[in-house]
Amino acid sequence: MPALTTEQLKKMAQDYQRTGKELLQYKLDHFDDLSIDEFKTIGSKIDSIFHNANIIAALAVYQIGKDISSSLGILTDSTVKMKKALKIIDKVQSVIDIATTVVNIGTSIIQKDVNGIIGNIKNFSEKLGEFSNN
Amino acid sequence: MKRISIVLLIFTMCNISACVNLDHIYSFASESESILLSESDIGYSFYQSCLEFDCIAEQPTLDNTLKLPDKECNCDTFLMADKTILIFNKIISGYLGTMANLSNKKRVDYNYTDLSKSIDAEAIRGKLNITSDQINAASKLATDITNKLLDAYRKKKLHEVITSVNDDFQKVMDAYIICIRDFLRDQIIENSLDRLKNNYSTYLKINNRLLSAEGKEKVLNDYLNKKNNLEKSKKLATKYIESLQVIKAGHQTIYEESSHLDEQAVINMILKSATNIKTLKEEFQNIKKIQPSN
Repeated sequence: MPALTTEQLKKMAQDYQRTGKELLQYKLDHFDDLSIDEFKTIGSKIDSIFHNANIIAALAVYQIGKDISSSLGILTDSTVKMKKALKIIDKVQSVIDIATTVVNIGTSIIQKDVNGIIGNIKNFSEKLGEFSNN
Repeated sequence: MKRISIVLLIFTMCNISACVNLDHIYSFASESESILLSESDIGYSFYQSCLEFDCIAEQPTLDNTLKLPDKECNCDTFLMADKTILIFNKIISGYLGTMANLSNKKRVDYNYTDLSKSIDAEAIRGKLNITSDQINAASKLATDITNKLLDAYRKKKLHEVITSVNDDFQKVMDAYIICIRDFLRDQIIENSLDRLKNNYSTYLKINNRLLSAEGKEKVLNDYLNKKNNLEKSKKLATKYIESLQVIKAGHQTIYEESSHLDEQAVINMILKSATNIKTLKEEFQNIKKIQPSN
């Protein structure tokens, strides 16, 4: 049997709902006329009808999710593309920071500052590590 | 001649990328993301309806002989529906949140100050034979060019994504709106209101002669309290749906005008969408704050 479409499920849920509402209205209109047992029986039927409408509504939502899955995938891929662009943008500052460290190493070499050279090379390695991790 | 060429090159680069203003896209995307993140504030779900009406006894305030329909409590289908709606929400808000990040000008505020200071050290300055003023001017120019080039890059990327994804975005938004409007609001919440009325009327019928006037009033207040909470969820869902429709239309506008996003008329249109979403979000928050009264 072919699966029901979302529209068919929606119509079924609406039909159940309409029936439930009509029965509920009947029950309330005859509050004084119906016996307690009749009232309970009708009440139980009404609840089952609404429960069925809800189950059908839940199935319809699941069906919609399945039907639209390829578009959801495309939207996810686009988000990934934008995130990649953001990574590139963030890397530019890292490049500037690395350039700064390179200049600092150069300064230390010119000044023959051994501690400066060691410190700046360490800093350079750290910045390079951060850059690669981005 | 060489210097003139360099200056011309710099000016050309600046002109290509100048006036790239994406603030309106940022406003639209960030406001949209923000309202999407408040979906759970609607305060009612498929699963909750199952718990309240199929699993937990809808117990009025007094002991009574009311029995719930005898059926097994299984909420798996309802959980599945909630999960589907959650997936919609996560994917759409993820997309809009990333769009907000990419259009946020704070992301391209590059800083050459440290590099400028390093070059300005006497040892380096002496070797390069340049002055501090020249270093500062170069630093400012480098900052400007980098910011503008990266602005142009952001614009290009946004343009690429928005034009390629709009059809699918529209389809996903339509589907998401149907889930919230036709099924969560018009079925689940609406049916819960009727099931509540059904349960309480049965309870009153059974206990009609046993209840005092005070007891009947308590039952009525209990019913009204629960009804008002459901009505509130219904109003919140309605406001949320309105917001989704504005977001959908706003994205369509951005798509249709993607070739001239810098034009003032287009900027105004997109900013109007963002303002509408913001207003709807405020109205949503106001509904949320209201304490249901009987």
